[in-house]
Amino acid sequence: MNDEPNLNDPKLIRAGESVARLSRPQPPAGLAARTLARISASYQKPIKKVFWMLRPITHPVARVAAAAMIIYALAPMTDLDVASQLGVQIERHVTGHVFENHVEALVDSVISSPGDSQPYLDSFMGVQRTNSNANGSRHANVRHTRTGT
Amino acid sequence: MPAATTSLNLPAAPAVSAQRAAPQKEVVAPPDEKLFELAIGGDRESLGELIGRYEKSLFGLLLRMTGGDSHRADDLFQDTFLHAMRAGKTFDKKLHFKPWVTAIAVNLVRDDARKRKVRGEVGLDSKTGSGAESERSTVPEPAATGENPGESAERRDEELKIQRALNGLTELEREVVLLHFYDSMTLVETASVLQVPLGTIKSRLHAALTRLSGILEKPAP
Repeated sequence: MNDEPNLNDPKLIRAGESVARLSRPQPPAGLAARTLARISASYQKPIKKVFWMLRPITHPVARVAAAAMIIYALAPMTDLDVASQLGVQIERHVTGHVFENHVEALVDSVISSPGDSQPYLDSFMGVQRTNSNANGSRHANVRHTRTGT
Repeated sequence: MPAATTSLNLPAAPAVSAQRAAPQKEVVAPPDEKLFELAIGGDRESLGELIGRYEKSLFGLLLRMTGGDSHRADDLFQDTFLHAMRAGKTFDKKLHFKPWVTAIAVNLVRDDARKRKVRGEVGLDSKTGSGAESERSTVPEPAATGENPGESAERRDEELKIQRALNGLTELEREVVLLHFYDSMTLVETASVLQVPLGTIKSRLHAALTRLSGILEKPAP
């Protein structure tokens, strides 16, 4: 079955031809010059830059809401227990020990002052080392025994 | 926030000396695509020539699409070239400039109609605006021809009737009829401008012409 619409109907052709016969009105005087001027002016206008992370969010209220959500997501990180737990989870499941070793080595090399030793910091934080790996690395499994201060 | 400024390097038009106006080889006008490429590169003269080429045809199309609103058509014409220049980098040189720029114009007409609807202004599709009020300025003044006053008046009445019939179509129907018959685009070009399959264009055109002929054949009240 052919569902193609029949556009050869004389009635339809007449209707189409009547549209084709419509006059082409004269454009207003100076239209081309005004268009040119507008294009030139727009190219010289400064482009307002928006921080890339906020670009998809255009409404001011939505931007405030997005900022609030980011703060809400990061606020628990101020609690050392939560942050520490998260760090351990990331080390175990995402980055791995090797990467962690590199990062710690880098941080140690950046810190120029001798500062407090790791055992002191461990005792301060209430971290008890329960195991050590074969290389004697201090990046062994740790258990937090701090019960709160 | 830091602000960056981009500027279009628009060189001054070169002075043409009278001596150089001596007879030369027949100059072939560069295609639209080439002019657009030069315009994107900052050649103001090429941009001016390109706008001049489309001034009459595109303005006429926009005027018919907006139901004869000259101010809207004027703004939309400027917006079309502004958008074209901004999107110039995305223009595929293998394609033709005319369907591309017409597609921009059609999308701008749609956006404008949507905004007017949101603002509560009467649109062409609005049934409430089908009375005499909506016919204010909906029929463009025909271009001056060498006709006598009687013929001119008759022609104007005829145009008024056709424009009213066009205004009675939906936006989608009006687009397809105007692009194919008024702007002399092929069905394939019309399909590419409206970004719909060829079959859809045919069925839309059939529906539009059926409705248009119905309105045109209806005796005037």
